[in-house]
Amino acid sequence: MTTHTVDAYADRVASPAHGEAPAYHPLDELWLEQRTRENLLSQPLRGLLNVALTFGVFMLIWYVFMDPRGILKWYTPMYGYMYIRWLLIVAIWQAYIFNFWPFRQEWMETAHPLVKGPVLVGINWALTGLLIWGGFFYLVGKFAIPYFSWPELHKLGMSDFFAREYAGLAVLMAAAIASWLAPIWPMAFENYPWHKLTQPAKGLTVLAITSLFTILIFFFFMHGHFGVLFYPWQKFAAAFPWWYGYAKTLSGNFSVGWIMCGTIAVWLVETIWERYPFRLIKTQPLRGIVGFFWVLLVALTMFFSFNLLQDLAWGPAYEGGKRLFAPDWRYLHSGELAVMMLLPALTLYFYFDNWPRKFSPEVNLAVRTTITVGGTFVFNWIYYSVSPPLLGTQPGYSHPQQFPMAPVILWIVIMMYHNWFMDGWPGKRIAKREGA
Amino acid sequence: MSQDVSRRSFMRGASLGVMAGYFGAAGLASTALYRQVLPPEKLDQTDIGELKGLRIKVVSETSWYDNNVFLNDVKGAGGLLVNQYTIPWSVEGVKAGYKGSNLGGFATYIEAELLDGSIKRILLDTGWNPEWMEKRFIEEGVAEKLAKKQIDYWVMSHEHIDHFFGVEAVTKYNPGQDVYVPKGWYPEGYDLLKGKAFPKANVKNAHPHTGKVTVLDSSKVNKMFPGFALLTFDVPIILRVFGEQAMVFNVKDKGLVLVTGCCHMGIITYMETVRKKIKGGEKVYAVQGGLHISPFEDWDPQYDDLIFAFNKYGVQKIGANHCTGFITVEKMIAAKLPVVKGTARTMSKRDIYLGNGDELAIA
Amino acid sequence: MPEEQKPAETGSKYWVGLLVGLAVGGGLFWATMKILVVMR
Repeated sequence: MTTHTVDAYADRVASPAHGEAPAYHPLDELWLEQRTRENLLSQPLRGLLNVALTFGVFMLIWYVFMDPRGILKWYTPMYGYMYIRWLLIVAIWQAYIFNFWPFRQEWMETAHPLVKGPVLVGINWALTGLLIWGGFFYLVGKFAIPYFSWPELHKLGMSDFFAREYAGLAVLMAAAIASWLAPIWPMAFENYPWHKLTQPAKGLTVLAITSLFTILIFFFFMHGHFGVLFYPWQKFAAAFPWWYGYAKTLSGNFSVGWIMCGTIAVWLVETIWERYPFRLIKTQPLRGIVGFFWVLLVALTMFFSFNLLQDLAWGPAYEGGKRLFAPDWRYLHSGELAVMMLLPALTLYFYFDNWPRKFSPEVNLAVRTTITVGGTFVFNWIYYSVSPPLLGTQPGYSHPQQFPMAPVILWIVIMMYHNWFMDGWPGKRIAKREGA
Repeated sequence: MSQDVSRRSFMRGASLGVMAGYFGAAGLASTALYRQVLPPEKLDQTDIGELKGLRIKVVSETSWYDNNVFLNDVKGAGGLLVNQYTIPWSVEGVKAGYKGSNLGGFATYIEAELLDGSIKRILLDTGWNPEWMEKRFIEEGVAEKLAKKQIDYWVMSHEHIDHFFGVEAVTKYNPGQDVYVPKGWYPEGYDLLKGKAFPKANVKNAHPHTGKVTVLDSSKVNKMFPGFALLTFDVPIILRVFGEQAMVFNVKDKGLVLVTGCCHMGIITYMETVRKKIKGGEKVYAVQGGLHISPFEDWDPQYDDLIFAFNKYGVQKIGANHCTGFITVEKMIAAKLPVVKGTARTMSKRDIYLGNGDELAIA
Repeated sequence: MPEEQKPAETGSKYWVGLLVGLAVGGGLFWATMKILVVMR
């Protein structure tokens, strides 16, 4: 037994809830849940320093890769956003699906964060590049469906600029759907029924199943958008956007909106809501099934609510409208608002120990939710005030080449690298084992 | 002890209740009760008076000649968010261009006949390539009218390269011509007006403006003379530009005629705004100008939405050109919208646009 | 926390709290809606 003070709570999501008895033995635990960390700094310095650190790294990466005033200027916006979404899903695969395989627990516990970080981030970037260029641009796009490939669309006669943007949208949507569906398995199902497999068999199986669902969702909800994106409509190759009558738009942004809410709902449930309420269900697969539908309910509630809030703030959109008044932009913006909700939630979870923890679960969750919802409004106001000078964007809510999701998710990716790959150092580090 | 427990129980229940109440109310209000919670629409219409007739002459609508060259200039500089004053626009070696330059420009000349028979003359925008624009201004008699101080209003729709960088072609003939600009211009725009050059973007102004600059904002309908008003839209635009203003004319016995530069705010949005803010706005008779839908011949299903919606507004004449996009106009024609055809001369490419030298008369 | 060993009571006070909370939560959302319309 360890005798030094450790911050065991924050990492043990599957731990017995406050007041719950008897203890539920989890089917499968992630290294992220098992690890025990100790604090090297106290609050609020730890939280503030780590937030500042991740923000600083984000600004540097934004300037080098994305900023229109910077070096590579990839924020056009779909091309840069495509990379950001892939960094995210590959990190989820590394941490949640493959549980850091092939690295052994011993290495994960003893290697210094400044070694672990670059190694794991390096793998993350390499895989992202390989999957996008090798997988989509030169394989899928060349031999299966051209709209997944920038070089292929350009070869077919599209302008270089739009070939890159259209392919970027297709590739990023695949990652976005995956980033909603993939974590459901370890989080809600605890990898049931494959929890007894070892890595990499477990990871490959979960990856295969979630990729299958991802592909199906993509074809049902996004392929139709690409069918009408080209002139003339590719009506034999893609079904007409069946959501048109309800959504008042042909655009797949209708789907992008609620799916983005789904990708956020997963993390809200995982972090500030500690997997309530489905964690109360002890048996699988019931717990997983309820968990999946719970996340979907949260996602749709967010989607419809954000639609309403926009209609109240700006007046309803109308069919054929543009910018703020385009129905499809409103749906997309609901997804953007959802991402803005994740930032305060993750900051609270990663950097402020998911405060509060000392009350009963309902009270803890209510306080965190209040902070998150309030934080969303505040962050929204801050973002639109400072992003032109900070990020090189244009003022205004709705700009044809802007997509606040991109910078916000990039900062979130940096936070994930910091907490998953580097244990939140220098705020925290892996607690040293005593004895054997 | 038990009081502690029951207070704790109350707090637990209340916490759960607040969360369920907030999100439950959100879910209900945004779905089942949506119609009830949305406030009713408010119309706030202004009477802008009437005109007897209108003559709209397209001085130039060919803003650039080769789409690929334009897009490569933009992509090379870093995309559509980059400041237009820093992009090295291609001025030579373009086969399809004017004397090798990819630059053309957009400008429209309008004559409005008032009810008392008098004529007001309006110039909308200055184009891009001063050499091309000067040629066209001379050919259409606009240069002569500027020199004789017969142009009553010079309006700038927005700060874009192809509407503004040709400014010295206007100020050459009358540097003291007062100008109306929409709110949202960046310092570089005012500097260019006053004669500053931006060599990186191949733009200069050898004839600094000395007239009055009036900035019009979106807080009200800007009435200019009976039958003519300007509306400003706070819209973010590509290439680091903000704000566009557009024209509304009211022709007696016909209805409203909307004339735009680029319509970056969107033509449906423009018509909806007019419906809410201008008396008689339920009926838009005609629309003329750039409608900025598929200027790069790219597409987005949102534009199909626009074409479907257009049908509902009962417009009788559509004189589209410039940044509307040929794909858009082809789709409009296929959707049986009343597109007015042009003559495809003087470097305008196709007759489905109201092109260079073409005219739309409403009387 | 040492004093919370047993599962919490879900007696009448819990449900009273729940109802009060629902009303408060609903009211807060109503206020959110009103603020957005006023700010327009």
